[in-house]
Amino acid sequence: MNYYKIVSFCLILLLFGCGTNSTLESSDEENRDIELTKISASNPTAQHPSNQAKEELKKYDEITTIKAVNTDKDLLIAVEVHHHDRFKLANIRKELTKELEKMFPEMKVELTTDKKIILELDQLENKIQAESFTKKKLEKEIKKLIKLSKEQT
Amino acid sequence: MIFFWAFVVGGIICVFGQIMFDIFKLSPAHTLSILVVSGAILDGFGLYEPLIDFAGAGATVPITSFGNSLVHGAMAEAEKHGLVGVVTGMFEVTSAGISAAIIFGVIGALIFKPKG
Amino acid sequence: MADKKKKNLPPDAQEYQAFQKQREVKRPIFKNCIKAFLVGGFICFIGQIISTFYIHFFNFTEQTVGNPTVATLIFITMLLTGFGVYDRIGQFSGAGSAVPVTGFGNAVISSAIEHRTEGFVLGVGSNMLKLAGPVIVYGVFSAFVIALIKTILIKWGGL
Repeated sequence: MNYYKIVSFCLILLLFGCGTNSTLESSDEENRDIELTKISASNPTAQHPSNQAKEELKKYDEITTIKAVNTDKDLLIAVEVHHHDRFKLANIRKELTKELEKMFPEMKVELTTDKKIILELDQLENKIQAESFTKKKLEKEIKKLIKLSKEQT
Repeated sequence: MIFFWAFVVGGIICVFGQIMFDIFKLSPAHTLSILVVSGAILDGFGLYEPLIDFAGAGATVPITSFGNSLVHGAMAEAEKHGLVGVVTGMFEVTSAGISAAIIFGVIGALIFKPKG
Repeated sequence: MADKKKKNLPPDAQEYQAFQKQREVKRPIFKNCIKAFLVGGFICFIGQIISTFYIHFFNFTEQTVGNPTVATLIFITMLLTGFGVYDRIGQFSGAGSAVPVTGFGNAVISSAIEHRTEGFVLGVGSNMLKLAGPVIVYGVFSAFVIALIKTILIKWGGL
């Protein structure tokens, strides 16, 4: 009986200790393989914030893919990380969101790591490059995607 | 990558179940109950969500994810409505497993004939 | 359950326990674990394929894809159980087919099919949740206790 008590006590200590805070590694290597496309400036809604955000996020080692689109008020970013970093995904999301909110205090930043949003944003970015979107249309699309990223069931 | 880890993590959880069958000689009902409770406990410590992020279906398909979803539903509701939410919010996020099992159970009973 | 406490039994019963242990079929634990690993992992692998399919071709996100994946897997289980295939898989793999949600579905569906002769209310309805019952009961109760403790800790400790 004593043996089981000791084992379960150690197990509980271990479980408590498993919640660690990690910080992201950032490097200034410019020649890294990272998937992102910058949207040209010939657009009703300038994609400067998105391009800026992509430049900023490129510095982080963990990130492999960045997709971002913005309206005047919202900035929607989707990132993908290396698979072995996915254990700390919640932490990465929190830290990146903080970074971006510091960078763009006047915009509402939505950062997601969801695969579906990455796929949708990829399509949206290509569409924006090919044809120019009106402000209203872009806003509608972004709102739709933000709503999708917040669904729980 | 995620396909590989789904396979491995799902397999490991099933090995835990097999150990409970063979070494501790527990019945399936005991084993599954222990696994569901373990899923709930792991989510209490915040360890099950990272496992889902890492292994995808390898963590959502075993029965342990049922315990995880129940705790999630309870916590989400408790944030909105306080302690009462712990009781009322449990099945808000999950009902797929139970509903599907019951519905397809009745349909199965209608379509299939019991074998001798 | 075979972990009887030997000290509490009369000498005859102890002798029988020893005799039974001698004659009991030895379980090849390592082989069983390998089989459980392979089959359980394979079922989760199929689940991942279904999830990825739903994410790419339907309007589901990683957060919401769990539900249709589980429903699809249980539908497949219904077909396998109805045609008697799932039982053969279960005999081979033990926990590998019982632990994933397909095992849960199989338990419910096979009880439903088996007790159909006793009528739908008393047969199918009463017996369906024989295995599912403890799972749901203890799942809900343990989630309640854990969420309660966590909520109290958050409110009065700023966890």
